[in-house]
Amino acid sequence: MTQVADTRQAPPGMMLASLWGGIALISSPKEDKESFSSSQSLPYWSTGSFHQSTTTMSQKSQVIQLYKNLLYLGREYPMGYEYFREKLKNAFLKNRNETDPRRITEMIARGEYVIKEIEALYMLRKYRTLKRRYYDTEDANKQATN
Amino acid sequence: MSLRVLVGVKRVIDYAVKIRVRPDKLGVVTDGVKHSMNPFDEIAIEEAVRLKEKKIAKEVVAISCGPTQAQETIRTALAMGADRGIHVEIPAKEVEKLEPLHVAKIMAKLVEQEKADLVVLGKQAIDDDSNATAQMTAALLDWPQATFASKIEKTDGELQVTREVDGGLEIIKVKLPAVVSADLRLNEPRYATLPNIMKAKKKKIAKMKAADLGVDTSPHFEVLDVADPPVREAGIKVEDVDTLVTKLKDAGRI
Repeated sequence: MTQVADTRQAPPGMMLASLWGGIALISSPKEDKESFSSSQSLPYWSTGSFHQSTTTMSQKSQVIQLYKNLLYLGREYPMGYEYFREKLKNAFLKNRNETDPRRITEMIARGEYVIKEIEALYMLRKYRTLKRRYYDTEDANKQATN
Repeated sequence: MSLRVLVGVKRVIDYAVKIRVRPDKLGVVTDGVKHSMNPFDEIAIEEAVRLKEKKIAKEVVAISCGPTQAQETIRTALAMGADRGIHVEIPAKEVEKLEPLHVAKIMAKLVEQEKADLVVLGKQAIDDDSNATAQMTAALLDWPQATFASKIEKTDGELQVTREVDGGLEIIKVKLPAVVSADLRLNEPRYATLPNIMKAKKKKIAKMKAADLGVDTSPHFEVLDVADPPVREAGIKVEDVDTLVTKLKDAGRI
């Protein structure tokens, strides 16, 4: 297993900001719809595998499932569940009039990507806290003197 | 040689919650406080599930000794990939007094009943930090133990385990059946997402009491006092040696 070498804590704000950048991407519609042509390469978040099978669920139920999954994930959010719910709701509401199925698929993929990012955030947070608590005696001393 | 793996999981106060001492100073506040699976137990479940994915294990059984809410912890384990669960119900009042020895006796009994080949436990619980259940279970079963495991590999009929010890890493071979306790760097546990939790509702959780297994859970210890650790004062940086000496004199140290 690759070990997390960084013993300093990245400012949580940075991690969270990049997350909300991801969610903001879901919410901001592209300025020029014609720019989304097949000649464009797929954005990086589209290449991951889906949680839900795209063949058996309608797009509407996929979006609803995505929303539920994100909401479930948000229960542990460091800045509070209410904050997360608020942002999530707004991000989804901004796109509620989208009709192009290709764009919706892209947005769903972005949502899946955000799920992965949040899982990584939680995992890292837990790992670093446990490492500090149980393994780093020098870091524990350093923290007390800050 | 496909193994049946028993994994012990414990419902503890969530690692991120700020702990408060109860007014009666005999414990910590648990009412209305967020609880979740012990992080080391998550690592234990993850390892067992990975063994199943590698076809080394054939079945993973998640076991928890605790109050009714422990079933949520077992559900999380099932969502992470365990096949079925066993809930040993301990009345809410007695949960606090449950000791590693009781849990070890329960595990040993279940190992006999389930005919398990491998027991994986978290190395310690973040609430009592006993670090004893795995060792005691191994002793009761007269099985070899590989504690503080940071890597597990299977060779014929044996496990090669890398242990994290004070001096660094130690690699040992233990014959199966064995007890292993999971350390932080064994793996990175998967998150139990909502779809997986939903699917896990179909999996069975067997319920029983400690008495059904012939284990007496009366306490051997009595907690006399619980207090906050002393607040560590911040260190002070000084400009030069003279200031340091003056400050030490002021503090009555020299």
